[in-house]
Amino acid sequence: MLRSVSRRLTCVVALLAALGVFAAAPAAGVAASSPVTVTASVPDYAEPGEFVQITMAIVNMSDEKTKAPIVVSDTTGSGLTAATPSENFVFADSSIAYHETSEEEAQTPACETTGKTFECTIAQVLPPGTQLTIRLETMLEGGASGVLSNQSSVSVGGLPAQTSQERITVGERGPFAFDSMGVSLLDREREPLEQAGAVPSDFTTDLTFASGTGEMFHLIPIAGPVEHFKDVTVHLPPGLIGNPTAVPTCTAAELAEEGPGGQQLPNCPPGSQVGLVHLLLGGEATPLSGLFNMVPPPGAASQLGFKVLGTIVVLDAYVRAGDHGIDIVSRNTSTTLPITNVEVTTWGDPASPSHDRMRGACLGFGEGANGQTCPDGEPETAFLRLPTSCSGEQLPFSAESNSYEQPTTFVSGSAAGPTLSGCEQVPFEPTIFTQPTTTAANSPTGVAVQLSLPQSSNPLGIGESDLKKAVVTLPEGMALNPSAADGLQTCSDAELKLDSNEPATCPEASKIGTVLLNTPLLANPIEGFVWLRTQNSSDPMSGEMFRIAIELRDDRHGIDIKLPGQVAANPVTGRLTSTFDDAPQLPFSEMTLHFKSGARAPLTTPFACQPQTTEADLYPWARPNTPVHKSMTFQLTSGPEGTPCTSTPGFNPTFSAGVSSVQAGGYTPFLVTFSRKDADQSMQRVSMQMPKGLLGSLVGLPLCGEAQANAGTCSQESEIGSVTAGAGDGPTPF
Amino acid sequence: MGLTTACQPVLRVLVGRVQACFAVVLVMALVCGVPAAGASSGGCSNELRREEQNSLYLPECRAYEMVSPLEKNGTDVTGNGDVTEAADNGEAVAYGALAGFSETSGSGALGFTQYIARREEDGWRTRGITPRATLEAFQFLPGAVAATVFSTDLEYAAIEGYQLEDGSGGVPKEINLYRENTATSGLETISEPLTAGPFSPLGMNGTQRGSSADLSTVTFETTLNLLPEATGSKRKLYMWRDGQLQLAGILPDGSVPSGGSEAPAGQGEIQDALLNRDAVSTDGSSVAFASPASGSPQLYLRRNGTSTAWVSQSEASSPIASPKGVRYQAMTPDGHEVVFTSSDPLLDADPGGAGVGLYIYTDGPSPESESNLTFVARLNDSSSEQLVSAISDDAKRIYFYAGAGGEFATAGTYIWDEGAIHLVAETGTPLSKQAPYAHASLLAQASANGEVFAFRSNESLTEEAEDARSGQLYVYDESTRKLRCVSCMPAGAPTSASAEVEPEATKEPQSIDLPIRPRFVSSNGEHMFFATAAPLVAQDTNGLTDVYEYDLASGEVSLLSPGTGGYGAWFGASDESGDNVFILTRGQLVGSDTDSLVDLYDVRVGGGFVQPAPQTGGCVGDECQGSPSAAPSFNVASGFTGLGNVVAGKEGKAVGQSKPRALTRAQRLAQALKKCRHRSKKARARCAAKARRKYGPHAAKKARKAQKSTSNRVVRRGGK
Repeated sequence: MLRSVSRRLTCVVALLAALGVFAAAPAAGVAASSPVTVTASVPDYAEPGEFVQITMAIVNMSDEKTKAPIVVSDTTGSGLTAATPSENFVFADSSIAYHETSEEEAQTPACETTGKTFECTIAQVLPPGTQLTIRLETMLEGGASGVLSNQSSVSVGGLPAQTSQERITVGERGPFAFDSMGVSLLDREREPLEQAGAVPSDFTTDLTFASGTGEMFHLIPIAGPVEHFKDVTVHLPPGLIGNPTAVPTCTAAELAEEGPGGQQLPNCPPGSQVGLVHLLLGGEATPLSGLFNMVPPPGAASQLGFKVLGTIVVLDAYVRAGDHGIDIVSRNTSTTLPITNVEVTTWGDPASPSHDRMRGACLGFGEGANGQTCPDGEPETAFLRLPTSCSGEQLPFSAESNSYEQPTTFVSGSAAGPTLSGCEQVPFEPTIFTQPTTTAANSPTGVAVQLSLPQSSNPLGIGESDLKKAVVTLPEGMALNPSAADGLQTCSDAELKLDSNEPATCPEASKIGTVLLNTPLLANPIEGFVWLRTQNSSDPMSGEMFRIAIELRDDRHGIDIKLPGQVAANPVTGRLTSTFDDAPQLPFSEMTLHFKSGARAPLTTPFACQPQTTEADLYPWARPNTPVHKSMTFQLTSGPEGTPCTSTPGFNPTFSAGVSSVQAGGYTPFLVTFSRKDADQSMQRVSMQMPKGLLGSLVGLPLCGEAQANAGTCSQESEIGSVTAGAGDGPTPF
Repeated sequence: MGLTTACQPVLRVLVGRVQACFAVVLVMALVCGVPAAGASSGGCSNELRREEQNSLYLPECRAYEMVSPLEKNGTDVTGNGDVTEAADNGEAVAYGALAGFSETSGSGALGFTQYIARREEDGWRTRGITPRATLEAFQFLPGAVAATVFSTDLEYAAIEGYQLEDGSGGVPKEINLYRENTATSGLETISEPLTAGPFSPLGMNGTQRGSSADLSTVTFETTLNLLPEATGSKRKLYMWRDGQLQLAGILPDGSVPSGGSEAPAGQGEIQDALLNRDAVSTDGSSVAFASPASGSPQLYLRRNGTSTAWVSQSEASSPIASPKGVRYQAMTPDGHEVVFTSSDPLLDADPGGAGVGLYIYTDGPSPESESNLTFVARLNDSSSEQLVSAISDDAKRIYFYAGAGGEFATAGTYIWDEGAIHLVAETGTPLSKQAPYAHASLLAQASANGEVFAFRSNESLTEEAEDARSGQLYVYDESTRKLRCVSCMPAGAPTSASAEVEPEATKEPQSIDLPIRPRFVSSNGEHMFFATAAPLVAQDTNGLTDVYEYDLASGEVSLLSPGTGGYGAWFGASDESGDNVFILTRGQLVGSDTDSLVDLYDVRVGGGFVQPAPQTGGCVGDECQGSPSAAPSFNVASGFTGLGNVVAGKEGKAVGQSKPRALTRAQRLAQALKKCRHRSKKARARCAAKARRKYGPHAAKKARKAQKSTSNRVVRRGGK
């Protein structure tokens, strides 16, 4: 009974397909050098006695037509009957039938069944951007139980077969889960790409959700998902980035509108197409849809979008906290269609002529299959870039998803990408420039630090390595300025929100500088601040005594990157060394830090007017143990407060002392003051001789021990006076 | 009528060739500037909000309120077709979008998702109301989930969709009807069968018809026999009332008509759905239906679910057993009057002949007369035409079209005003045929008392419309019996754009139309709203479509959208009073709107919310640390109570400083020895010896004497 109903309704599916509803195919498996991707799909759950459909969707993702024949085979395991062809066994794009081979020829393959293996040879070629769908069906035997297996394979043009193993669990539908996740990164020859920093031709992510059998209107068999997925987040490995400014954008209105290529195509600019999407809906493959680079909404770094059967799906990109990799998020995904498989292919070089037959109208009308091309008229440029590091491990991809049915429960999946290599070929040519904001010696000063990395948009080249670590050592004598402490506050770790994308809530008074970052990923520079963090140590060499952090913030694009830094002070020379490590694997062309200037600037210039040299060691992610050393020199041209330069600083401290009562033999307070000017050298040692007869009486006073004094816990009774100290350069010492 | 049209009254989804495919598939396989008068220039309680928004040009102290959220999942609010409906009191509004956001739960065809926004103290809050279909639901097929009608307060929605996941019961594996509480998403199944079936597939597609104001009564029709008393394969009109399912199509004698029953306006286009929607009284007690009980289809009125009146029954002295050409035209909100046409004369007053007689049925005989029928006029028109454009709430005023002939010298739109007939406008065709939209009946609306009648016509009906582009909005005032083109430029200036009361803010290829009737005339008839690209006021300078309000009392139009900038605006809906006018625009009318996606705004009398303060980059440089503190004071003079040796200095400066003190001998010795270090070994020894001779202990006595002498001088100077 089920079978007859199924057969009756298969014609419905066929009609839909004939009308272009089900026409092109997604792909789960991408074989090396294969021009096609193959998605084999069976429901994950089924009951004994039920027929289940085995769908093999074969898509030609290359820019050349495949060679005949296509050989498909399917071997069912225990508990499943041998596969047999469905009524619409071979289903080709109309464009194939019209332009390449006769439909009759394609629909009459040579098939045979040997034991539980069914094999067919199909005299069919696939033009670029077209797909062929193979439909078989098998039945769960009456006593079937446990987990059943099915193996399907597809060979195209004599190339090695792509094989996939599917499982069917006998029984009711199981929980919401990822059935599988896969990724592939291919070069222009459709070979796996492993070169760090390179631009992939195709980057494909494939997600399959657990599915079960079902039917609609008692008639139409639907292999629907076990639950409706709601939000899906794909975590890309750090350093795998896309450049949304490299290609034109499409607006939300344009995505929704009807394009010149027909209602199935959006009205997006051709140059905004950056890839392809194909889905499995209820066990059936959809036509290929274009993937577009969208105008990002407020709060997203970028957005991709596509339209399948009139339903719009947008994928927002965010820079995640922590490792600053990119997250791709589909939020509140439409439940309109019973999606069980999503495959998104993003092009690394969207304007490449290799995509001309799968772009715009060439995709929608199958004109590409007919040999026409649809160039987008844009210059070729890199839209994607692989990480510039070689960790020796496979690139980690993962995904999370929840369902509308259980929105608080997230399931996860993961996939391993290639192990990147070739880091020695990744260029790293930084330049750095530092300059104090004053040319006066021994004066409060801010500092401007400008770090540049040349970024290339050449889709055939290797991208500049991202900066991993920067160690900048200021000239000796360029020290922390105590005057800066007046009104200065610090930012606690809780306020900084270091591992969060939320903006820091640091006190404004802990802001000691500003940052400006130009990145090719955004049209406008990102601004930010340098915060002074709370002290974690009293050891000036530890780097934990003077802690700072850079926060780059772009609310428009939902970006908030925080980079902690350490400042170590040499206790002998006072020389300062700043270290920023584990910088985000994100490209930037220029980063400028401005430590604030003015009377309360955080630094002071050295005493001498001689050339002052800043040293920098810059470590690339490509070669994290091989820094590039840079040194920069600046010249101070005057002494402090308008005084001329001197080769040797003067030393003219002041001293005063006195008593408040001149009564001989009487008791009196004794007051003494030492001072020096900015132009003076620092006091190294002070000794004072008291007048004869001026004595102190300590009778009856408790003494404060050395340890107590160091700890600041002397008793009140031991207090015999008070000290007021002023420190720091500039007009407002602290 | 095929299945394609059967689903249209509920959800018209046109997907180009795919739609055509649907028909094939279904048939083959499955079924077989210048402030205008009224503008306030001050004195509004919300003046601050208006200033913040730069919206002082808005009339009646109106101000903008952003209704849709900023976070819309990257998608425009749907501004194409009729999907926007305001609650009667303007405190809520229903709208749609092609993406999910704001607690969305499900989505319908093409990802279309419906929302209810409610006004709260500090802003509008949106909630997704589209429920989820079951996992098998392939909403590209019929059965896509959609809210087809709302209660007038938007508290409830009637949902049609394939077996909702959160619904219980209903016809299995079939499209069903539900009532949703839009605040909680709770579902009640309307199409709950009390029989075991079997139920043929797609028997429930596009079935929802009428409803009461609070949706406690919903009518639908289907061929399925959901109740034991329902038999046969004909369509039957069901009534779900207070949770109970019953047949509405029951004849006056209590029998179930063998020919079936259906909603009175048929099941054709959206306008029929709108007419059917009104064929249930606001309290749900009266339901009009049609049934070919005996020959030609007749009109009936089901009352309180207990009795049925034959509306189109002839009361002529020689009654016709089964009058022909009976067509439902309108019903009053209380269900007391039904307006209809009949080819056959039903009263002796009707001369009969060509055309149709226009009648009013009054439920229950009046005290003065045994008759239920009132003859209005015989119209020289087809019995299949929708001739009535609008009626007053008491049916004492009826606006209708009459072709030339009989008592009507010219074809036109007329008003029947309690027995007197006046020409409203010389329209050459019924207004229902002048529709650029699916909603023909949208084009004409009357005030509750019927005194004011506003309609859109493609014809040039007034002097100022002579140079106007086709499709202008006219207002007729029965009190003055004057007609005016309110969307036309002042006389002498050509009107370059048509007036629209249906938005086209977005251009999705798929048109999603729901049987809702966005109100563009306030209930009292004092205000009309429309959109036009014609610059009707001087402030409108952007050449784009903008929203206008016409004030009947002043006869002036005012801008309700900025009229400037790069974005146009479209009219979406208004509430009963006209105080809340909902418009669609990509423009950023309030500070919190930072994108250029289409948003829904309320142009509200006395409205406006406090906007969040714009974010700034905060302080820069030294100011971040506040004002510098006073420098540390070293004014030791204040510590002296008697004579001392310290001279007070100026405030803020270190005081008590003596002249720079000379280095001690020891210091000088150290300095000299340090200099010696840079010399050769031999020279260093000579240098060191010389230094010790000069500054060493041997010479210290003389030096101490000199020091003592200096100290004494200091003391003496301080002790004068």
